[in-house]
Amino acid sequence: MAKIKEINLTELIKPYAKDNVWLALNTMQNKVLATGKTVKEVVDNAKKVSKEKPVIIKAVQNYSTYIF
Amino acid sequence: MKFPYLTLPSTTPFGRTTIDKVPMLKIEFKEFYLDCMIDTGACVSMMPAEFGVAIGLNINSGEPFLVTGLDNISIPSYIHKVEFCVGKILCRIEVAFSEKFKFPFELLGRKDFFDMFKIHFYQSEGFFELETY
Repeated sequence: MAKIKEINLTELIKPYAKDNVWLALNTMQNKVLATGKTVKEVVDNAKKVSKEKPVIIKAVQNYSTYIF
Repeated sequence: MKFPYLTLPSTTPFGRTTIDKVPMLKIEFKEFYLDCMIDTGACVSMMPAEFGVAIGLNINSGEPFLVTGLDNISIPSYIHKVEFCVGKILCRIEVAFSEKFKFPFELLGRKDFFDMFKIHFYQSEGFFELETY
């Protein structure tokens, strides 16, 4: 069985985590295309720098202490 | 379809960085993809209201719905039917949108989404699998 390639966002998110901003990543999720304070802003900012459809995720300091 | 867990960082109160592997699914809308956590504990899928606005919804026109969390506090939300793609599969599910939703993940919960797919978690191997019924 082919191994699924791990996606590790640790280093990518770290510089933005304190700012609590939205990130637009490239499709491979290995590069930050743009940031924004709102979803609309980050999508608009990503369109200005790339034709790629961005992947949107929130940058925060802590992802693992939540129970939903 | 197999998908990798996402590895995400967390900083403890003592300043130590830990990592967590999360079953996050990249779902596709017209203008962007969104990383959402597959949440067996959520009765319904849930997203912040601003996502609804970004995909063209009038949030307050949805069906009002109270979502209760661990602390037994209910937050108001509005239910809308939302379409997106997972790979080539078109999904149409109910999503609760709320201004009060402040988690870092958008949630794919049991209603509708879990009716569409059999979901297998292989956490120690770092992936999960969706299989249509």
